[in-house]
Amino acid sequence: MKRYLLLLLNEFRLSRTALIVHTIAVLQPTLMYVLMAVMMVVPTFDMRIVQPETELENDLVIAMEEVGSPIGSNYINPILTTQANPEHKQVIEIVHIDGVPTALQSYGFIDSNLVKNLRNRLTAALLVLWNRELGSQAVLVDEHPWLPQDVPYTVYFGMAMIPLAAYLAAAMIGGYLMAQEFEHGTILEYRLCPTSDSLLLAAKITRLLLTGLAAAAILYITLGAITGVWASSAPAVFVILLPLTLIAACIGILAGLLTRSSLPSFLVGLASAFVFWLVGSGFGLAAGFSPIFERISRLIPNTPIIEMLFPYFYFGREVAPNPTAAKLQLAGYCLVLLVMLAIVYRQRVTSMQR
Amino acid sequence: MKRLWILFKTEFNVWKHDPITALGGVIPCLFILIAFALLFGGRLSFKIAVVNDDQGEYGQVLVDTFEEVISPLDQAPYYAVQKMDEVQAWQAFEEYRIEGIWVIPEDFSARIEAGDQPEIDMYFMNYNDDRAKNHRIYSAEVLWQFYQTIGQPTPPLSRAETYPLPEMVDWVSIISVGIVLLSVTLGSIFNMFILTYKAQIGKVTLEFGLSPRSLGWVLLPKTVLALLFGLVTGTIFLVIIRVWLGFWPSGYLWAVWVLAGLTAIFWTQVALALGLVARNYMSGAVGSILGAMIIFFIGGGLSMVRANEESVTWVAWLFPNTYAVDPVRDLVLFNTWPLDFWQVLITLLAFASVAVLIGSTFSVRKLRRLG
Repeated sequence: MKRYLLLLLNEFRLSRTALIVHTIAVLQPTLMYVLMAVMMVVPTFDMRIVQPETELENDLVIAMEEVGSPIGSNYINPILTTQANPEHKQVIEIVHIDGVPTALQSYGFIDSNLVKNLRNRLTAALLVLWNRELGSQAVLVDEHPWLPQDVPYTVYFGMAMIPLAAYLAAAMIGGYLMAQEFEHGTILEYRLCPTSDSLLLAAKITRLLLTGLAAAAILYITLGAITGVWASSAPAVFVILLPLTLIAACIGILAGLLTRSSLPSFLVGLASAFVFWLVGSGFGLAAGFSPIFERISRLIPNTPIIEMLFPYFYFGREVAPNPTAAKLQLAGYCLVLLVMLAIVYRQRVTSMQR
Repeated sequence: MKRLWILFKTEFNVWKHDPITALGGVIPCLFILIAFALLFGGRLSFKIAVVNDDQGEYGQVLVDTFEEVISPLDQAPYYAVQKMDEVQAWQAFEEYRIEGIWVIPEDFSARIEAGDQPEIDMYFMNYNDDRAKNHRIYSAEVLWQFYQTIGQPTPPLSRAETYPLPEMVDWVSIISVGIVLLSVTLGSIFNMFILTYKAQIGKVTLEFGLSPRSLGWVLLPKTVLALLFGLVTGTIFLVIIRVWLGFWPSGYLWAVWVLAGLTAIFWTQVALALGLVARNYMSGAVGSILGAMIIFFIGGGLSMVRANEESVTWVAWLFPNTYAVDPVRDLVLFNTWPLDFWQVLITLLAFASVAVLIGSTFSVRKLRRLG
């Protein structure tokens, strides 16, 4: 145990050789979250409409202001303009087409997602007018949301970035430091070292686990400070993150051992971290996207981790379709990677050029 | 000129020993594109269940309407109604295997016929406000169509729209051009890094520091070579987009190169300066690469800057990518000359000039001092 603790201490001392890499790897996701939280998708859209002149046009502007969530924000912020030019986004003008008063929405060079959002909002506003005219003939939609309030997207986005933070720090630092041992020639010390491989690797992995969890803790605190939403059990969050951080540490060290060069190992850590984040439910729960995406997403370790974190941030609501299978999946990944790491370490360090 | 050529060839030979760095601008970007294509490129219909207890015909008309209302996002219905019984539906909703449940009560048709305030219950997911918003505004689309189908009196205001192109540009394509710019940026940074890193580990920096001639001779070939590699990786990525998504800038390719090239020059100088500040080129490279990734996400990588200008954070405006990305989209996706091309060009020129001035002055000082 004493030897293990000494090795662990030595691993932490090694961070002095790459202080800036540590700082960047630990803080980057938090910085990205802070910046992205500012511009995160919000339900309220500015929509330009040509200055109303008739009562009907005025009614439309009022209807636009009514479109929104009864337990959240409004969806349209009407901007009155004198120009019927869509410029870079859109503009609504009331025209008569074949004698029928029509809200004509003209779009600029924008994409289909923006068109969808603008079209839906205008339809919702026009439906307010139509319902008003229909009176008791109108269909009333009685809303029953899943949660008592609409939770801002920044909460989910931040929660899904916590695994990214843990992964990026562990994988990038693990790969970089391992590759440095080859580049600086200090790998010879490991080759000559009388300590067992498992003890050396255990110290390395423990140090990466702690670093990854520290990165996650920084993001968790930032998320709470920005949104005011805290997990119902913070220790549970970090326990859930452990397998993912272990997977990241193994992938990072493996990349360092296999490439023996800091740049490619950094690339492996970076690419895997961001792909796992994006495909692994980073922008929304996997079940909410296409069936193909969901199938692929479920292979990524981030997805089960996020589904396990979910109840702690969302009023205890469970979304994991099969929690036991998810735990087994993560345990399987950890086991396979640990075995691979032990084999590769033996090949690249212990058995080679002793 | 001859000296410059010799140094250029030397730098190229250095690069030839580690050509994998050329992939630095392609591999991560390709993974990111695949990830976004998986995320937003598939069918994005909301999976819902409908419990139709209606005793009349209008309930079924409403159910049929779901299939008829098509989203411009993916040319698929907003809602994909899942075939499941009521018990399965509630269980699926509680476990978030479906997005929502519409319950049509038994007196729905009777109330429509009597004009007696027909109602439906919409149970839906609101774990993020964006999805909740979609449920609310998608339901408006469905009801609009439903009213027309059942022959309700015409609305006080009809609706129409115009789009400037015969075919709508999809969201993944918008993101892909953001990634092209990221590819040029990363390609330049990676190659600038490898050239300076090789100089460092080869201890050539000492010779640079002692050189009696201007160090501009050393920095210029590195910058030019890194810029060229950035443009090559960006062009490779453009070809990938051409094959995959079908967009190509055609005769505007040179303009894409100019805008992307000026952006890349800025980043080569950032990589150079950061590498020297850290006295460790790897730290500099890590910092500049992750910085470029952040700028991709906050500087219009995922959506058009012009259409969301009010939500772009001030930090993003400190980097050239935010200015360049939409004109590049005009050229690649819309095949149209950007109205603000010259204005953006001048802005990017200013960014590149200041970066070169600060970057090279700083690097020369560091090299002279540290060797």
